[in-house]
Amino acid sequence: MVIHKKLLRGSLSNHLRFIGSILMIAICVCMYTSFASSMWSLFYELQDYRENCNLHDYLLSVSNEIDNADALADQYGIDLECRYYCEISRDDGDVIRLMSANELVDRYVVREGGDLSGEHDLLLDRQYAKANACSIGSDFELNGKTYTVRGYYTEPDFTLITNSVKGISINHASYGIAIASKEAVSSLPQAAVEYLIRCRSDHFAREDFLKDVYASAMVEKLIACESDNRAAYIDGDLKIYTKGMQIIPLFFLIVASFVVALILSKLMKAETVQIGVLYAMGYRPMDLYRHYISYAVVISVCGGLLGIGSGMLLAPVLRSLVTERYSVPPFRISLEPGTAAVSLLIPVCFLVVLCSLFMISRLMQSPLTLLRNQAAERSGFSFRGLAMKGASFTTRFRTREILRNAGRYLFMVFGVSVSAVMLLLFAAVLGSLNKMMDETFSRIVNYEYMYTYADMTTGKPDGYRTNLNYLLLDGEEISVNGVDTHNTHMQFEDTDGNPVTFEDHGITINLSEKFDIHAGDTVTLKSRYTDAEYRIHIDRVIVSYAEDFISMPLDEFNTYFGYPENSYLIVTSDHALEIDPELLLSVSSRKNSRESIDETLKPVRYLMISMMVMAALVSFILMSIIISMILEDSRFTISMLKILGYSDKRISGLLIDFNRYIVILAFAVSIPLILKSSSKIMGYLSEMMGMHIPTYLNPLHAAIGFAMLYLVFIAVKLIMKRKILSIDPAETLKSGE
Amino acid sequence: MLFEVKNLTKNYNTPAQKFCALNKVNIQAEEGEIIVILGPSGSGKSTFLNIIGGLDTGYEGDVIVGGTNLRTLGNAALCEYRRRNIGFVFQFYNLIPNLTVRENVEVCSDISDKPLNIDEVLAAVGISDKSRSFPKELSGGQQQRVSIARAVVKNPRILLCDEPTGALDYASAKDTLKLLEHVNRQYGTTILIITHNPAIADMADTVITLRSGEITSIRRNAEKKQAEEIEW
Ligand SMILES: Nc1ncnc2c1ncn2[C@@H]1O[C@H](COP(=O)(O)OP(=O)(O)OP(=O)(O)O)[C@@H](O)[C@H]1O
Ligand SMILES: [Mg+2]
Repeated sequence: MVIHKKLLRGSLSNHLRFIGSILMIAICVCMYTSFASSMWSLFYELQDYRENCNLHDYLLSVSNEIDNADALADQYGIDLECRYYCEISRDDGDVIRLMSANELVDRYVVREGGDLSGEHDLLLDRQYAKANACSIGSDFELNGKTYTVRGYYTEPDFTLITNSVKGISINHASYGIAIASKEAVSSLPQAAVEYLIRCRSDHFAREDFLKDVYASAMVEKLIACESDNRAAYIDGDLKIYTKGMQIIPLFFLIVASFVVALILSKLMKAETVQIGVLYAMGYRPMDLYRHYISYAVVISVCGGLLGIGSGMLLAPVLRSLVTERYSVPPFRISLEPGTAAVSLLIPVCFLVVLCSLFMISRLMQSPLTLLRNQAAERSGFSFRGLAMKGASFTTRFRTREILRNAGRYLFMVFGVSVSAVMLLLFAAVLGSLNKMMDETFSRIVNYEYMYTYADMTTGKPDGYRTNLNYLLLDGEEISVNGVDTHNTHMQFEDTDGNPVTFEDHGITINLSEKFDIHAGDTVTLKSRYTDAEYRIHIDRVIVSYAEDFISMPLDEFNTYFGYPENSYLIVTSDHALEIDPELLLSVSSRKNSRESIDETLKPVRYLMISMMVMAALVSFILMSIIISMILEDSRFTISMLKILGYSDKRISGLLIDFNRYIVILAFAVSIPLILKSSSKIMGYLSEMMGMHIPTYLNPLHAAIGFAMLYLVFIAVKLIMKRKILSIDPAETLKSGE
Repeated sequence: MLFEVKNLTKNYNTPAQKFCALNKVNIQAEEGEIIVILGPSGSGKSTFLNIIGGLDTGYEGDVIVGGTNLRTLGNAALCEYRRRNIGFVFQFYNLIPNLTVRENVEVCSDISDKPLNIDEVLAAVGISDKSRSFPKELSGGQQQRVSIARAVVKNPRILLCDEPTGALDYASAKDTLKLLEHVNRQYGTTILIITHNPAIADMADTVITLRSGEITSIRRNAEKKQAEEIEW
C-alpha cells in the first residue's frame, strides 16, 4: 500500500534513529547468534565425540595392575581398560605426558597424519605440536629415546590438557600429551598405571568393585568424569557460553525494544493529526496498527538479519576462543534453523509486543481527539508551579527541559545504568580474576618448584613436604593434606586474617562453605576401601582460591593414617632439586604455573574486554537516540533561541551539557548494584570453575569503565552539536510547527 | 432522501458545566445537493458536521444516512461507514508531508472499493503538473486542491468541508469553490460546506444557519449562483 511509503521516507529522513535502532538490534542478535551457533555446534559435536570414543565414567588410579581385570569387567558390567602413563621432562624443560593408546575406553582419534604402527611411533596433541613446531614425520626425543611423530590426535578425556584432574592451567607450549603403543609405554620404568571405566548400564556397584580391586592393588583414587577437569572442565565453560552469555544479549534487546517503542510512540505523537485524518477517511485502527508496526518489524527483521550475518562472521572467532584452549574435534559452525529462527523471532516478538503496547494506547483515541491534537499537548508536570525564584535562566531552562522530558531522561538513566552495570560487572570479573592471580602467586605460592612423587617416599628432603590421603566426606572425595609445620612455601591466611602455620587442623573456605563446616566442628571422614572412619577436629578455615583440602601437621598425619614416619608425596623447594626423574610423577615451577593460568584466563579476559566495549557501544546508541529525539522535539525552541541571537555553543550548553550529570548519576547508581550482584555472580562462577574467587572491583577498572562511558558521552555530544548547527531557523518557522 | 437528522442534541459535560452544542436539530437533505452551513464561532457547525461524518458519537436523536441510523453503529461500523460514504476536506489541508501529491491521493483511493481514476481526479482539480511534488512545495491553495482530490477520489456520497476556504486568499478560495461545484456536478456528490463567509451561501441549494446549537433558519435557494459569479 502506498501509505507505507510514508514510513519509509520518514525513516530515511530520520536515518540516525532508524539506523541506530537497527544497529542495536543487530548487536544483540549478533552476540546471541554467534554464541548460540558456535557453542551449540560444539556442544552437539562434543556429545557425539564422547559417545563415539566411549568417554570414561571413572578414572581409577592404582598402585599396580589389577590381577583379574577382565573378570571384574564382566562381573560389574563395565568396560575396563588399563592405561600406562608417565610424565617426562624434555631437555628444554617441557613436560610430556606419554600414555599408552587406548582401544576400548577413551579411544583416540587421529586428526592429521597417520596412525601408530610401530614401537617408536607417537601421536602428539596438536596444540603442543603447533606451539613447538613438531611436524608430522619429524623425530621426537623423549627420555633419551627417539620417536617419530606420526600425526596429531585428540582423545575425549583430554579436552583440557593439564597435568592433574584438578588442574585448570594450560600452557600449550610447555605441556603436551602424546600416545604410543601399549607395549612401548608399559615397558618404561617410571610408567604408572590407571584404569578407565565406562559403565555399560546405570547400575555400577562402585564400592563393591573398589573393594574387589583392593584385593590385588592399592587404590589411590577414583575420580568421576564430572570432577575430572581434563575431561569435563569444558562443560562449565560451555554452560556459561550457551546459557549465560545469551542472557546478556536478551537484556540489551529489551533495552533496544524500549528505545524502538519509544521512537515509534514519538513518531505517532508527531503524526497525531495525520492519524486522525486517516481515521476520518475511513482507515481502520487495524490498518494503522499494521502500518506502524511494520516499522518495528522492518527494524527487527533488518537488525535480525544483519545480526545473524555478523554473528556468523563472529562465530569462528568465538570458536577459536574454545579451540585455542581446548583440544576438541575441529567442529564446523552451522547455523541451525532453530538458532536462526530464535535470532529472528526474539527481536521481532520483543519489538512487536512492546511497540504494540505503546501504540494501542494511542490508536484507541477517538478520531476527533486525534484531529484536534489534544493528545499532543503535554500535560505532565505543572511548570508554572515551579517558581524557581532567584534561579538563573540556565537553571530554569534546564529544569524545565528535564521535567518536560522526564520519561525519556528516566529511561536514559535506566539504559545507561544498565550499560554501566554491564561495564562494571565485566570489570569486576576481570578484577576478581586478577586479584586471585596476584594473591595466589605473589603471596600464597612461595616456592619455585614442586615435585610430585609417583609413590610415597620417606626422608627429609631440602624443602617442605606434603603427604596426601583421599577420603570421603558425605560421599564426596576430598583431599587431606599432611603438611610440614611452619611451611613457609604456602602462605595462606585464615578467615580472620592470621597467617596459617599448619600447626593445627584447617579446612579451605570452599569446603567449609560447601559442607557447612566451621572452626570448632569435627568432621567425620570415611575410607573408600575399608570400613575405617576418621574424625578430625577443625581449628580454622583457610582462605584458598584454587585448592580444596583439609590440612594437618605432617607427623600427626602419618601417625594418624598409619603411614611410615616422614613419608610424603610432594616436596616444594625454592631451588631446583636433584631427584631421579623416574621416581617423579610431575614437576611444576611457579613461573610455569603462573604463565599457564594466565594463558587459561586469556580468553576470559578478552571476552570481558569485548563485552565492555559492547556495553559502551550500546550506551552510545542509546544516548544518541534519546538526545536526538529530544533535540528533534526542541527544534522550534532551538530555532527561536538562534533567532534571538544565542550562539550555537550556548544552545548546546543549555540543551546537551547537563546530560553529563545523567552519565554520572547512572554510573553512581550502578556501583552499589554491582557490588551487590557481583558477589552473587562470582559465587556462580566460582561454583562452576570449582574455585573460590574473591569479589573485587578494582578502582582502576571502575575508573576505566567510567572513562569509557564519559568518552561515549563526549562523542554523542559532538554529534549532537552538529545536529544543532544543522537546524535552520528559517525552515523551521516556514514549516509552521 | 440522502440523510435525515431528527432531534439531534449534543451535550458536552465538562466538570465545570453542562454545555449544549447542538439542541434538537432537524434537517433533511437530498442526494446531490450543495448545503452551506453558516453561523458564528462556537455555534456547533463543526460538531454537526462531525456527527454526520461518523466521527463524533454520544448524541441524542437520530442521524439516518442512506437508510442507516448512525447511532446504532459501533466504532468499527462507523469506520466502514466513513470509508464508503464520506470524504473530508479540512481547513488546514492536513496532507501527509512524506508523500507526494499523487501518493496523498492514492492513500485514499487505496481504501475505496469504487475509486475514481487518480489521474482524472488530479486533472479535474488542476494539479496534474504537480503530482510528483511534496506538500511543502505547494501553496496553500494548491494544497487545498490536493486535499479535495484526496476526498473525491474515493467517490464518496457526501463530501464534508469544514471551512475549506478559511485559510485561502480570494482567488484561491474562488478556485476551490469552483472545484467543489465541478465535483458536485460531475460526480453527483452531495457537499456540505461550513463557512463564515455568507457570500458562499449563494452557490448552495440549501443554506442552514446555526446559532448556539439551534437552527435559526433553513433556506432553499430558488436560484443558486455559479461559484464564478460569487463576489465578496
Ligand atoms: N470536546 C469538547 N468539550 C467541550 N466543549 C466542546 C468540545 N468540543 C466543542 N465544544 C463546544 O461546543 C461548541 C460548538 O463547537 P463547534 O466546534 O461545533 O463550533 P463551530 O461552530 O465549528 O465554531 P468555529 O466556527 O469557531 O469552528 C463550542 O462552544 C465549543 O466550545
Ligand atoms: Mg468549527
